[in-house]
Amino acid sequence: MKIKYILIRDFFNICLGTWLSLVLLEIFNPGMVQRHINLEYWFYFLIITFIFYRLVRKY
Amino acid sequence: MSNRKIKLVILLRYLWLSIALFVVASLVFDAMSVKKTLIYELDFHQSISRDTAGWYPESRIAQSSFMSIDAVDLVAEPVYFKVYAPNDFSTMSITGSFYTDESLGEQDIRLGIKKEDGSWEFQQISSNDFILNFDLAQARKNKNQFELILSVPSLPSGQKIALINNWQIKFQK
Repeated sequence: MKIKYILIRDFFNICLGTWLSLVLLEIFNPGMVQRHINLEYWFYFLIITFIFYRLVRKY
Repeated sequence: MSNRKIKLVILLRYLWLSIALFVVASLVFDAMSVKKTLIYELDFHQSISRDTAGWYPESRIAQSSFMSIDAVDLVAEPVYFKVYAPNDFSTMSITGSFYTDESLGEQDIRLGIKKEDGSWEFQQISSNDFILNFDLAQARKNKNQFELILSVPSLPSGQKIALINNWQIKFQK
């Protein structure tokens, strides 16, 4: 179970870091990211991944 | 944890990082385009696309009633259009065509671009096939988008003008 926890943790951390970078890029240059990637959907995916990550950590 | 599992964790970690860096880098390179011209072929059947939004409000646009042409009908005015321009271009030229029923007569059709002070810079469209050039020095660029307006003040109620689906917007430095 520990390896699953590490894999999900890494995946979540990298997704979160990438999303934050893309949000910053979008703030400084509007339209640059949002035309290609829907940051709102990415955020919802982060929430689901985080819930999954907490569940795996707990069990 | 065994060596194999550790290697798997490290491999997947670098895989996610590589994908993330690739995504960010491709977006940055796309935005840093140094093209001297940028051309959009507009499709009025799609009210929202990656680079454009319009015409809106959508209630003022209808599917064309002129069966033999690829167009949309302007049923009320004015209508607006937004177009994305990533870099600093100096001029914008718009080419396109209209179709009006003969019974409508000559119409006062104007295409304008929003300026920094909030007013519109209009240009008259004098023929069914037109080319208009706009100087972007005073144009308002909101979130890397320019806003256009199509105005036909003398359009009678219940009448329509067909916007042929062949419009092109060209940005130049």
